[in-house]
Amino acid sequence: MATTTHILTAEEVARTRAAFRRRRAIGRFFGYLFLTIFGLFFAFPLYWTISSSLQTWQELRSFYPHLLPAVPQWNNYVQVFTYVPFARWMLNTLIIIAISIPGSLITGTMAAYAFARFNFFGKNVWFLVMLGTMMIPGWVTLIPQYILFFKLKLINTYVPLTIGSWLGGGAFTIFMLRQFIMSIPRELDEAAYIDGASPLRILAQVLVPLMKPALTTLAILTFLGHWNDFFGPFIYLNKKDLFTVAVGLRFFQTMPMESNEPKDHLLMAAASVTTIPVLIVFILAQRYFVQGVVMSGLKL
Amino acid sequence: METRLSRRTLLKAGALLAGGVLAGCAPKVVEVTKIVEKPVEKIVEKTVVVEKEKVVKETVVQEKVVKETVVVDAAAKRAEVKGKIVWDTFRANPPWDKDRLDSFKQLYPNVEVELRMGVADQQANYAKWYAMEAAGDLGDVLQFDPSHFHFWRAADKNIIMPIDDLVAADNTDLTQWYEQFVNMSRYKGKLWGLPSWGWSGFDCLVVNEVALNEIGVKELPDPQQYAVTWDQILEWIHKSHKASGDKVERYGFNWAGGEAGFTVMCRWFGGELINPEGTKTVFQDDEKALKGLRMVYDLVVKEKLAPAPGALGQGVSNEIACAEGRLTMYHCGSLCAVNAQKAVKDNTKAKITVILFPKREDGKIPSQIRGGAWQVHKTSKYPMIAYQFIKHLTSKEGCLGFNLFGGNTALVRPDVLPLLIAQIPMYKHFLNNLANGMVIHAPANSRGREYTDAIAQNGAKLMDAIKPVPFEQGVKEMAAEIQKVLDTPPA
Amino acid sequence: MDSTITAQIAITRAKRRISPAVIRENVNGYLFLAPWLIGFFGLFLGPALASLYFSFTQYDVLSPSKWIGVGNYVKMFTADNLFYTSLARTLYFTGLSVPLGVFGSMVLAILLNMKLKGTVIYRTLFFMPSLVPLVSAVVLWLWLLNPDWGIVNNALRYIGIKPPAWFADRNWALPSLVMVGLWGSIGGTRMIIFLAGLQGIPEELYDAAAIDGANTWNRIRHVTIPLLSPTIFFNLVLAIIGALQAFQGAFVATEGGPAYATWFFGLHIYKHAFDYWNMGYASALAWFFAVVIIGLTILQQRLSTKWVFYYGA
Repeated sequence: MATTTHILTAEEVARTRAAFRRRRAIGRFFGYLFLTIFGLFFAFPLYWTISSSLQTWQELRSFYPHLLPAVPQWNNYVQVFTYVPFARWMLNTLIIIAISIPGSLITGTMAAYAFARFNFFGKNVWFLVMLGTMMIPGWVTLIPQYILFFKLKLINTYVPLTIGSWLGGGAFTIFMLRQFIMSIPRELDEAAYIDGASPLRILAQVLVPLMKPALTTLAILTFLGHWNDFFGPFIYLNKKDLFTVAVGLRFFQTMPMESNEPKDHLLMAAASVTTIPVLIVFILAQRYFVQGVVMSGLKL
Repeated sequence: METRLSRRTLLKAGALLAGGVLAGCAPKVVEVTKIVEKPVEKIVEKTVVVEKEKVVKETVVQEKVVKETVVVDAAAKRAEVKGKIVWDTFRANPPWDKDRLDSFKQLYPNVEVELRMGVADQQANYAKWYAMEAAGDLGDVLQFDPSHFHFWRAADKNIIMPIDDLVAADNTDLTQWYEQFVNMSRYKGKLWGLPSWGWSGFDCLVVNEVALNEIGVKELPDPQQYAVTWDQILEWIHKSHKASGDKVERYGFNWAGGEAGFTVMCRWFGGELINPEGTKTVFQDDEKALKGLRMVYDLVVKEKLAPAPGALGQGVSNEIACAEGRLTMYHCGSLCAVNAQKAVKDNTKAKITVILFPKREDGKIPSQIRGGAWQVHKTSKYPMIAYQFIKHLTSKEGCLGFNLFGGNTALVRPDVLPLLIAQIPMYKHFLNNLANGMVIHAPANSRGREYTDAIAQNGAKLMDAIKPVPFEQGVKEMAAEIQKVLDTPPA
Repeated sequence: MDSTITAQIAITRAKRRISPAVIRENVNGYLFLAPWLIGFFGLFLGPALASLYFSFTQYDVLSPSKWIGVGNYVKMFTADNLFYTSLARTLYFTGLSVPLGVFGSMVLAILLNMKLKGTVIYRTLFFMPSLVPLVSAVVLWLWLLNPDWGIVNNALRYIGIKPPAWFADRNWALPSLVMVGLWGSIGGTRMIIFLAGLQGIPEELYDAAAIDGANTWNRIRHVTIPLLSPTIFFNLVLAIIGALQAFQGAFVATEGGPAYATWFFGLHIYKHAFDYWNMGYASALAWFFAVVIIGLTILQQRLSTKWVFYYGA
């Protein structure tokens, strides 16, 4: 016997709807609960950093920590900026980032485009080689690279720190963008091709607009990477004026205070100052994540 | 808030006072005329002719010394010196760096000194320096510290130069520094640098006197009398340890791991960790060395009187635990005692003092002199200028400043100690140890870094209270691992 | 007649061999790849080959290198007991943190993509650990996990559990690092990448599935995960590479201890390169490791054809 189709009565429909709504509400509740607990768990250390930055060093050195400062010591932040050229360091880091982000996005997309869309001789080999560059621990290429830049008289400049961005932006960038491009249907490329577009135009006018979430993500990651990068600037920069934020933070850590007092509270303030700009950038970039991908003209 | 301000003001006043003291001590360096005594003639002759109990002729010709006053304008001579040196230092000491550069500029107006300051902790900086040396970019004034074991390698690899000739040419009086600290820079029969920072290292127990008062100890004797005995120390540790079940309110003791800690532990009762030549481990067969290790093992592993290691960071370091009354005493040195004192906020909970380790049967003081050194690059174009600069860094004024506002502990000059003690009374307990402490035994193959790691890691295993290993096994493994490092071909 | 046919065949063959399409593909491909190629040859290849050369020498950076052939490689496998120890530690760490990390990031991303209210806030909260400098985070965790006086153990004791000694315990130090690592990375770049990937899944597919009667769980199973598979693959590859090379946390938190418990392979290489100055040996270790990682990645690449679905390929 063939299966009979059961036509729902109005009552059954209503009950099903109610059940569905209830299930969804419960699901939502647990979702919120889970997210909130985890959210607090993740946010606590940052909260702690900022809270510590507003305490005195005596409060910080207590046996049981104070979750809130007795009196917020805003002066700590003033001291950070007067003891060390922190503002200058932040500016330096922003300069490096401003040079690097366009470089990564442009040359990274180009390389990813090549790997994703073109069938050129040796493609798979090159792809593996590219991935391979990620797999050789950086320590052993550091000294030869340092000597290379030294011979080119580029020590104590920002060139060693930014040139990589303009030459592909790194394996991570290319890999990620390649995956992303490969998830965009080729039909869009072909449609544009038929309309007479060159590969460059296809990339710029068809693919890149669709890649906004990926590109935004990459921009944020590049920002974060350079903002927190310690070893590169450490090795290549010698002059205090040129230091970046990560190097400056460490410098500040090892620098003794004139009064020989502990400076934990100032370090926390410096760490907060290090963190807050990235947080702002991240919050501002949120809207680019919300955009869905609209595939007009796509037939399922 | 108000208390904080006034304390800061006090400290600022103290720093200013120190500056004033410094200014008072500093010789007027701008114009110094030097008076040189130049003997012109010196005749000594005495002839006595004696003939059978009768003095016949006595001829004495007097010694004639003619003093000639030659005025040498030292300042002008110094102004003739021209050159440029680069100063690579691993740690920023801002007011002190500038102070030294400025005062050196006054002495040698035509010499340019470029400061390239280090950024991070010492180990990372050494990495950068080696890279710079490979590229040929390393500066003239360097800092490869003996206590970090980089010194011997730097000497072997021709990064730094022996300074004996420079010392002789300059007629430097090496006794202005404690001999121990100068000797740290001696190697292969030569002198390679002048002392920078230094302390008598891990030679005492930092003690919270209030905790001892609670168990009936009225007052501790003057540390420099070395009057406290090991039996008393053990008794006090046991009595002051307060625990109820799993929860510990106060630990009686904490030990010091790492290369310095273990070396001194072996030295307590007359033993050694490795032989002076740095080729063999000797502690595993030496009952005297083992006595010290076994004592700590019993306290830490068997009786669990020490807190868990690896607990660094805010709020739970030895100093703070001690200052809060949660730790009676711990193995450290002058440096730590001062830090612990600074951490005390409540005088009813803690009063920091020290107990220097009792002298051994052979009269020596269990310790390990620790220090750094300023050196000159082997291929420096201006070695004499570099040498004058490092002399300037470690002169009386330089050393004092290095301590007071350079953030270092540089107890390397006898003439600076009284001034420091006026600021930091704790240092007076260590005067004898600074002059008479025991020296470091460095691995002969210059593999000091591997040596340090081997001791730290295997030592941690030996003294692991959470997953204990039998004492004999721990000692055997540790000795074997360290010997492996000592047997490695030279770096 | 024969010659004309032969000629025609030859011409056809010639055309097929170098068809304009093929030329176009190659020219375009290499043109777009050019910046990366320049960087590769200029900045990477030289130093990489140099380090490969050094792996066959005894080199301490300060004196000229001395050729010793395969001496370093022999030493690795026979005379360095820390070699096997550090490999074991690293594999253990990777085995724990990669599955948990990738799965956890994915779950968080899916949750965040559900358009619950306050997503922006949650997303920012989760990302916060990535913003805190590693050194600060580690210091904070050392304090939180202090065996005697840390909050975590006090809380555990309060509810009656006997807590482990975390970083001080030889058996718990590595899992503690896994925990800190997860905390630091689970809501970070990996999750953001998953979100980006999720954004790339067309709404229409979800609607179509819903119409077909699929509930949330089935929608996830049949739409989300397959379409997310390129992103999963990407994150998996990177997570493995990252975990295998990780050591910064160990460096700051435990310095490889206690008793070599957190002596990762990456730390082993760093120690030999920049602390002991056995640059030759460190290079050999690094190249050995690179081969292992490349091998693993090729393996993953091969396996990926079985489970990764490229919607646009």
